[in-house]
Amino acid sequence: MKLTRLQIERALLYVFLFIIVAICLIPFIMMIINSTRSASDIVAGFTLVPGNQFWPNFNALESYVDIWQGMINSAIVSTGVIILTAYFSALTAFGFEFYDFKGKNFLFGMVLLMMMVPVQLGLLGFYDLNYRLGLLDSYIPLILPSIANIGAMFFIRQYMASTIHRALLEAARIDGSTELAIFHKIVFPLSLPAIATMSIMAFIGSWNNYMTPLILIQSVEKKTLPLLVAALRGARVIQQNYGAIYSAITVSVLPILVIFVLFSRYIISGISAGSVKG
Amino acid sequence: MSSLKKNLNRVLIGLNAVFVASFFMNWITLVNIPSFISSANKGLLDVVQIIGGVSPIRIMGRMATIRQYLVDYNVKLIANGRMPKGIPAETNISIWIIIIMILLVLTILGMVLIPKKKYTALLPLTSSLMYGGILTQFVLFIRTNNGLSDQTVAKPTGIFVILVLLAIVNIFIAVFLFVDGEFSITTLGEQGVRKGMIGLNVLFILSFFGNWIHLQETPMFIAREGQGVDKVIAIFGDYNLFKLFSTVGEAKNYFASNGLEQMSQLNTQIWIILFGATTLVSLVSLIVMKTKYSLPIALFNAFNGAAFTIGFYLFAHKYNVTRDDVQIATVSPFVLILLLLSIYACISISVALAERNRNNYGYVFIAPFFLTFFTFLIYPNLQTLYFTFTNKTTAVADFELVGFENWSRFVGDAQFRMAFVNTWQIWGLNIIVQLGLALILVFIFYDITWQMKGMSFFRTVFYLPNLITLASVAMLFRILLDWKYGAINQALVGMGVLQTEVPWLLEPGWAQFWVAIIGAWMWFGNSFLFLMAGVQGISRDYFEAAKVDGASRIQMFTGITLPLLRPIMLYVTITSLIGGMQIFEMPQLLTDGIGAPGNSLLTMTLMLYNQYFKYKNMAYASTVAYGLFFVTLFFTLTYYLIVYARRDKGGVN
Repeated sequence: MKLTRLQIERALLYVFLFIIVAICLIPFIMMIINSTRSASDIVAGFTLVPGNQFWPNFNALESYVDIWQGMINSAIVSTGVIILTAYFSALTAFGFEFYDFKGKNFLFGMVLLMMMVPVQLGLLGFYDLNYRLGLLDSYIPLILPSIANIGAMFFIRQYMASTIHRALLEAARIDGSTELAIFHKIVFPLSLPAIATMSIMAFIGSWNNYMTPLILIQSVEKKTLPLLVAALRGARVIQQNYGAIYSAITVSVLPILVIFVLFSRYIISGISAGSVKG
Repeated sequence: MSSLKKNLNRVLIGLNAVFVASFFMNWITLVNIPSFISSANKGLLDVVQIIGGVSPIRIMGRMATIRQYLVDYNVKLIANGRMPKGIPAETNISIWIIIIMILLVLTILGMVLIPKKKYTALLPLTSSLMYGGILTQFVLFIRTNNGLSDQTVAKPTGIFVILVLLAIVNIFIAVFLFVDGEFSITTLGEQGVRKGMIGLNVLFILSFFGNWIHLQETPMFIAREGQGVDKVIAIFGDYNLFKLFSTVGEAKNYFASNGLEQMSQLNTQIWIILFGATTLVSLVSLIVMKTKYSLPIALFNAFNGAAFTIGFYLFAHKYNVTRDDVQIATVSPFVLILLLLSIYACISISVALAERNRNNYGYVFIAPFFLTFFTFLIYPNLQTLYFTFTNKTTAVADFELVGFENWSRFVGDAQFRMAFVNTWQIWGLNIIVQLGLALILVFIFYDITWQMKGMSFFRTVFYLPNLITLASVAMLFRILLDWKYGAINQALVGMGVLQTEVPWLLEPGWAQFWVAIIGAWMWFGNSFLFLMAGVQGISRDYFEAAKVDGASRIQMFTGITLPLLRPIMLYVTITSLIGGMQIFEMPQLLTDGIGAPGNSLLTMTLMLYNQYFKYKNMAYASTVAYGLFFVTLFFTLTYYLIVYARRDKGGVN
């Protein structure tokens, strides 16, 4: 059977696409493979054959840093962030979308404007504020600001605008529902898809956050995962044990990989939808 | 509307309780402070007794003490060969008696004449008069003591005169209303109360200033008297609403020099919570219930009292002042009740207001967001801006305004220019690769003849690197790019692509190259997603028509897709520019954290970070932050204008 020109072109394009897929994945593959090989093997050269040294590597790592503690810390922070983001972004979006109060557009505009301002701008003021509040080395400044998650609020508001009609709220009011009950029993459940998407994004953002914990958290037992991983850079002893470092990175990346595999549909559709509407 | 009234009544009940508590609070504060100070430092006994004398409830018991004190004092003066000062002391007492009389008369009048719910309004009045009394006492005390600090303490007297005058005017109005028959038990309806409110509002505002003066001057005064009470001062200072921002610095220093940092932090926290709560109440009520805003001001009063008490309580606790432990500890339940009541009042007020107009619920729902927004976003940004005009070094350090010193240093800073160039080199290569790759992918996927499958799989995989912890990615590449043992060199040499290992992270050019490439690797999937979302909005008819006309793929891409994608490309480029100017993790973690090799990875944000966290120069770090912001803003706007100007010239319709 003779291949048409179109089929050849298509085949070549698929090859190209899979090369890019490979480029996307190779660093992770290298990471996983190397985390299973002993330090001396890694030094000797790279191979695609996994070794069986993962646990020795991991145990070596464990003797330098308490990676589980880091994971628990990150989990505590991320959980707090998810809860606050989900509830307050939805509540604020609800307030903005369904009530016409004075100064609403001004406030919303101000919030959107702040979206454009980089985090670094207020970094020192934020540090100073937390110093003055005595909140350095605590998780509160990592969790509490997520009440004002601008992106999530904006996204959820867009979603509410397109899916929930005001008549629905009126119907509930006629049935004697209070305003907060309307939010809890009607609007929140109906906005769940958007809230879930934003919660996942908030989780990822919080889990990956490096700079804020870096400036705020000092004590080793409170450090989040990215800080612990980054701290391996300075540890002289472990620096030569590449296997241990690879295993640390693998462990730190795994939760995100799992989340991504489970929720990639939400994440991708969330970003695409946001980009169209935004 | 009935539920509005019900809620307002609830608020009033709550507020009554608060006022009563605030009354007791003042009492407790005034009673406890003197004995506390006296136990801490015998030398201040004089001050103690005078303050103690002002507490209305204890005055009768104190009278004898004060007299005794003054007698002793005069005896002491005579013993030291100085003139006795009997007459001023007599004056003190007579002034005090006049004040207390007016106060009592007013309270009784109010209790009898105004419907019971409203007599609470008089309590703030007592409080303000009490403060006024304290103030007079201080002024007089200083006068009699050879003008220890006449000039400073004399200042408030002018304001105090105004206070007294206005109080008299208010009494006059009240009496007039009473004579007029409007101010009677039966006819005094809402209208009468409203009128009374106007007068009371003035008083409340004055009482507010009274607090201010009181809070500002008292510590100063005590400070001058005896070094030992410095601690008390610092605590007082922290609670002064107006002076907070300047006093925190002083208090900080004091605490730092005495190894009591934790203590002052706790105080400040409590202060900020109280301040936040009161401000919220004031703001909400100022916006919605104009005639009623006197209530929050009274609340303010109560909070002041509470703050004092907490401060002293903590202080006593810290120093294990056994003598007054029990006495001071009795205060804490009051504080708790007060806080609970004010939270309740907050909620009831907001609900009551929202009931009036359902749309006001919007304010209630967005309030937590905006509180956080202002506290953790707006305020830090402004604070940072403020730092750029100071010489602040660390968070602990004292500082003063230095004008544009940092900015003039910034303008001539070669290091920032270098960081700027580095950042641009990295971002420039990054955006070319990132956007180029994304466009190629869009070209492939959106071609109507190729009809590529598996789009959702590919975009998912392409997006993956974007989600991985940046710190982990940086650490990963740090070892993957290792000179001798890095997997990338090993793989490339093994495959024969390279003759020998390249020291990627030891040569400036290569280091920047890799940061850019890793950035592109992480972000091309994101750009691709955005561009695809944009391209899906383009009608397929355009392409069909173009195909019929015999346009080639490239022609279709450059003629249709690219122009129509311009807004999205603009968006992607601008967000990437904003992100790229902030690049930090990768340069920091990939090498030594200060820009090696050869400063090639010293980006603007890395410089910002190191200015504070390495070189401890907060003021200059803040300047770099704002400099970075302005640079980004400038380029974003320029880029935006160029793109839009080009469009206006008629590239596309």
